[in-house]
Amino acid sequence: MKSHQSACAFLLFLTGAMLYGVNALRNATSAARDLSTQAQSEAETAEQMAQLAQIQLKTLDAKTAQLRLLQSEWKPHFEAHRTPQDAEQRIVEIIREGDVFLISQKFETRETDKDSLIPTALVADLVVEDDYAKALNWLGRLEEAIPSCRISKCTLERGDRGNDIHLIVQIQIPILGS
Amino acid sequence: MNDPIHDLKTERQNVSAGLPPAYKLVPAAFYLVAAASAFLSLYFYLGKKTYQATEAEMRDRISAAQAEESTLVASQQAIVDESKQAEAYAKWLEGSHPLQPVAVAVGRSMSKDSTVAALTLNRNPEIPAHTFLQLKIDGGGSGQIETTLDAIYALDYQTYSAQQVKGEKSTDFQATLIHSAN
Repeated sequence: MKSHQSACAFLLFLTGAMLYGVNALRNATSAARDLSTQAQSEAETAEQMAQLAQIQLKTLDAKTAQLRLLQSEWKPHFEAHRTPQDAEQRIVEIIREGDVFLISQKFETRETDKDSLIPTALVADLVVEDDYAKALNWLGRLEEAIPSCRISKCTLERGDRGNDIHLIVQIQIPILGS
Repeated sequence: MNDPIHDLKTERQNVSAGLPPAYKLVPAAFYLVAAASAFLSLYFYLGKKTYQATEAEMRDRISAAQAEESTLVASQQAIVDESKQAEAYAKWLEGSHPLQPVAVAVGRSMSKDSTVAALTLNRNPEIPAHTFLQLKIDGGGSGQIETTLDAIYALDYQTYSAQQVKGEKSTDFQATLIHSAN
């Protein structure tokens, strides 16, 4: 091959190489543009999702405001007795503070609803015999001291002496699950 | 004599013929392509950098939006958890209205001729908001029962399935009490 022809061939090769390089760069730019467009679309979707979550949060917040107010007011009372022992101790204290004549007491832990947030309750069966006013005042103080307690059974009968009453009461105190 | 080198150089014969005219376009095309390539490369390079910067910015926006969404979803979950807890509390409290005021109201409603022989207040185990009341009054009668019921109604209780049996010296009354808040 003559030298002029070689030079032309070399120039043609260089021209082709440049065109190839420019085309590769164009493809890379095109790919970058696609990625950028996709990312923009994803960003808009993500921002829409965030806005939707914000709206849902506000709606949920408004819808459950009263419930959560109840929850915040009652939480300390329900959490005051984490174990049956705590609840039992509290009842014993109230009996002692009330200075009522206790005939019998029985405590047991009973399952209320295992799937619920309140799966168990301490059940206290108490028999008290004392002055009518004193016994009823004590019962009122008990319900006041443990606002979350539930008196499930209450029987009042005449007592053995004068103004006494025989009070049989069953109290349930909710024990929160862990 | 003026140019001794020229004088030394001898005339040489062409070793090859010149390029055909079409071949002369090759260098021109090369220069044209080189110039265009330089321009286009710069153009595409700058475009690519811009797109990459935009993509990075979008990725930041995605991350920020996802983080915000996660925070909001966590807040929603916290509210849902609180609500579930509140529902459990409310369900329990529905069946936990104090009964001592009922017992006191019944006792205070007794007239001079009547006394409470026995009073039983039992909650329905299935529906604790329903309290079954059994009352035995010595003396008095229907009038006394009415007075006692008025005292119970004053505590916002309603009675259902009321039954009254009047004996010789006593009156038995039973009913289901439901607090109006339920």
